[in-house]
Amino acid sequence: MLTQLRLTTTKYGAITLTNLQNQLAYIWDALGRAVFIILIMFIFVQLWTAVYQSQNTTEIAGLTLANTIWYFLIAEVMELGKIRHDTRITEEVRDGSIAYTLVRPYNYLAYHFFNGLAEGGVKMVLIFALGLPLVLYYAGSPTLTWAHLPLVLLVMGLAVLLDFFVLSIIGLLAFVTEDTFSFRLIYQKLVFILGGLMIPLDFLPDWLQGTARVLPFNLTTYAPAKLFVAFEWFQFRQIVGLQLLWLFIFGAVLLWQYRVMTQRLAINGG
Amino acid sequence: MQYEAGKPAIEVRDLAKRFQLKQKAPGLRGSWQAVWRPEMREITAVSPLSFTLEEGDMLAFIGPNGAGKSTTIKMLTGILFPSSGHATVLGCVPWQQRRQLAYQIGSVFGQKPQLWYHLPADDTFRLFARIYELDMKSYQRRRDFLVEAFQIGDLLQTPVRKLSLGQRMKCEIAASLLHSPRLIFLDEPTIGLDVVAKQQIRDAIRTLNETENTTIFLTSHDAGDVESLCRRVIVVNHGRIIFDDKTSVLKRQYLRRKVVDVRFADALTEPFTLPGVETVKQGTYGVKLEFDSRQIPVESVIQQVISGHTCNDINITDPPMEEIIREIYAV
Amino acid sequence: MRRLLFELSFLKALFVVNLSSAMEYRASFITQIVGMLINNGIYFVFWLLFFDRFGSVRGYQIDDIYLLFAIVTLGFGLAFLFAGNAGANLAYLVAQGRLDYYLVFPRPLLPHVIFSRMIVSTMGDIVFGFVAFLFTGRFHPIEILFFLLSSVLVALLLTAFGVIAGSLAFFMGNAQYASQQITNSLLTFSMYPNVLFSGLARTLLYTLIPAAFVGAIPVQIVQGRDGVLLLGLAGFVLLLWLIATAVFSLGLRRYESGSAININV
Repeated sequence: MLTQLRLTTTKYGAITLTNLQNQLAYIWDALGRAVFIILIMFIFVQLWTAVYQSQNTTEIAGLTLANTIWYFLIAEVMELGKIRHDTRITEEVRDGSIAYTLVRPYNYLAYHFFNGLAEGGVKMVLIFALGLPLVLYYAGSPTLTWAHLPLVLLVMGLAVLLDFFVLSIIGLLAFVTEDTFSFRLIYQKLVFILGGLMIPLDFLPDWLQGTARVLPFNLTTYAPAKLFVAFEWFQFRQIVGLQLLWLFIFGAVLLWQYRVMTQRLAINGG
Repeated sequence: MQYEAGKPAIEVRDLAKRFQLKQKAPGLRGSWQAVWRPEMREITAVSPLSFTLEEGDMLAFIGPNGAGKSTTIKMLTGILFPSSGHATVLGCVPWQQRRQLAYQIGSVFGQKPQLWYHLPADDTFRLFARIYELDMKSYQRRRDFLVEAFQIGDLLQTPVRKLSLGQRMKCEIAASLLHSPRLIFLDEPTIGLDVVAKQQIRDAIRTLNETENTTIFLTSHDAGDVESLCRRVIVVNHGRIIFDDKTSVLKRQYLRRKVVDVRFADALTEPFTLPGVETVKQGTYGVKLEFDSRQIPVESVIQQVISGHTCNDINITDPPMEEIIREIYAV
Repeated sequence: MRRLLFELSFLKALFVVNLSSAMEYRASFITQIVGMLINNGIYFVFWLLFFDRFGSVRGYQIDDIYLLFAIVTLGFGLAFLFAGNAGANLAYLVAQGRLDYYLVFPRPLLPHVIFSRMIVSTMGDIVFGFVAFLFTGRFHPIEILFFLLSSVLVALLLTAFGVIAGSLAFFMGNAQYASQQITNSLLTFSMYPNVLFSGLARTLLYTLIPAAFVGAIPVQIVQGRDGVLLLGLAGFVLLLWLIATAVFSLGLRRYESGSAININV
């Protein structure tokens, strides 16, 4: 039992490590892509500085300007560090090569998760590191206490997993529809508004805010960013509860999808 | 500019090309080092190279992978600037008079398709007619001629992605001949094709050379291409010319070995031997023989094989080009 | 002149072939266009929510956003509908040695290359641009004329900029991402209100990353019905094209084709 566990851990660990090595080979490319965060953050800082000025206030919906700036950095880290494996799944389904990858001695989705973890992790670190100087300059150090950090990291982890579930479902939709592009696009774009990527949910009109808070979109982006800048126990409990609920729902869908898929492959003989 | 008759089609003098290449040691450590101190190394793709090719000639330009064949073609078609040296192709300096030259040459890169993948070949043909500024009447005439020569009449209306590789290649080559080039560069035109398609392509190219005196510059890994098309062969390796003479000379010297594969109807009970013939491999139902066709004619070997056994299949092949080239290096 | 007409008719032929190739897959053709409409729509919704909450920011209002979006999306759409290979794609073609294909043809290289690809989704941008213009309510003939003219100029500017960014690949090898980032930054900056930026950033937007010429200045041209400014924009576009062709032909001398990759060391 224990050896089995050890073997499994080393296997998936090796997948992450190998891709990490691969990522390092293209680190300049990754850095080049991540540099964009500086520009985005610069624009956000200018935009929201102007907003706080023209509103003539230091706080909007409980967030100071410094809070807001930090919020956007974390939200972008979450968004840009997401595991983008869904297009690969769609391609594999479409050209039939999934029949071969499925029989390899690892769990198909776990493989994609641990493989993507390396890529996502590298991106997250890069984006955070590149955005940091600018944010420190305009917003000072973050208000998050060390005690709350592990809790925020937990929410981040669940956020990555939740997003991974959603994109897996979208990728596997390729079994039903030929083009999954539109689903992905709609999901990603909903995160922009309902996920709080472009504007914190707290700034939205009430009618929209209420709905947005229970939908899964905000749990992947808004939730960790908000808790990072303004930690509240009540909100933390609510968010983790909702994250687990949605993980359960999407997990069930995914499991069902996965079963149907393997059956269909068995019938078609790949 | 018009090319003057009587001058060589291609004149190359000390043409050379060098590239910079990034190096990386294996492993995570190597990746990490390459991030900080990328090691650059200069490689010579083509060492100073000189040769001439007369108009109407058919030349095979062969050598192992990475010998500098493609790089040479790219310099002669004006795709690449050379690092040093001179060349004129049909009176033009390719990298300076690229567009003038383009009207007069055709090129087929076996692994770089020119036809629009999602459209029928005919659409690309028509686009090419615009590209080369052909008037509609002569375009139609030329198209009919090529359709006939390559036997592609019933393929032109099908989207290219639905054609077989052989069908596609025939259309590819026909497309690059629409503007009646005086010189054609063929880079691996028959790679991956079946025997019939190969033969059709070779026949069409030969016809073109005979009827229009088109000069042919061919690279191929297929000894059959070289043998059936070209009168002259240049062998390059590591960017240098190591052989430049008639194909018959190459053949006499190096292409004399033949390989015969035989499948028998009955199981063999004892070792298979023939005088002067080497038994390379022997299984229960088949043998692979190799021999020197100058010492023993092919017919005599076949006769000896079938006289003692009932055969299901006999296959005669030349040793692969790589082998011939390897033999050339040994000299 | 006849020469020019011929080249134009050649580009038209290229466009037709591109279009028929794209139409081979009708479903994907439509989803791409609709996808782009959704994409732009989301940003639009953001600004609606934003100005709904905050009224105006430094005098900038939702009306200004309508016009800004109309010009930038139409300009972008026109640019990459026709010249889809300008920008990051050019860098890709250069780095992968794919220019070979175009180099064996007797046509002017740069137009042949950049016009050889149509980005289908840009049709969504074009539709979006016109719809956004309807929101502005500026229907004076001169305003409409200036809107169309500046959108075309913006399209020309974006292609020239794309050529410069893509040509980086001649000089630094794998520049696909770099050129993508540079083009993206131009677009991103031009989609935000100009009034947000001051000092060095503002200078940058009028020079190295000429976003002001993509967004703010065309908006000013239409709002002020400013013909002189329109001519100024045309002049800037011409200058940028001169730079673009110079950089491209300089880079071409260093073109390495695909050979470097094929060499077995």
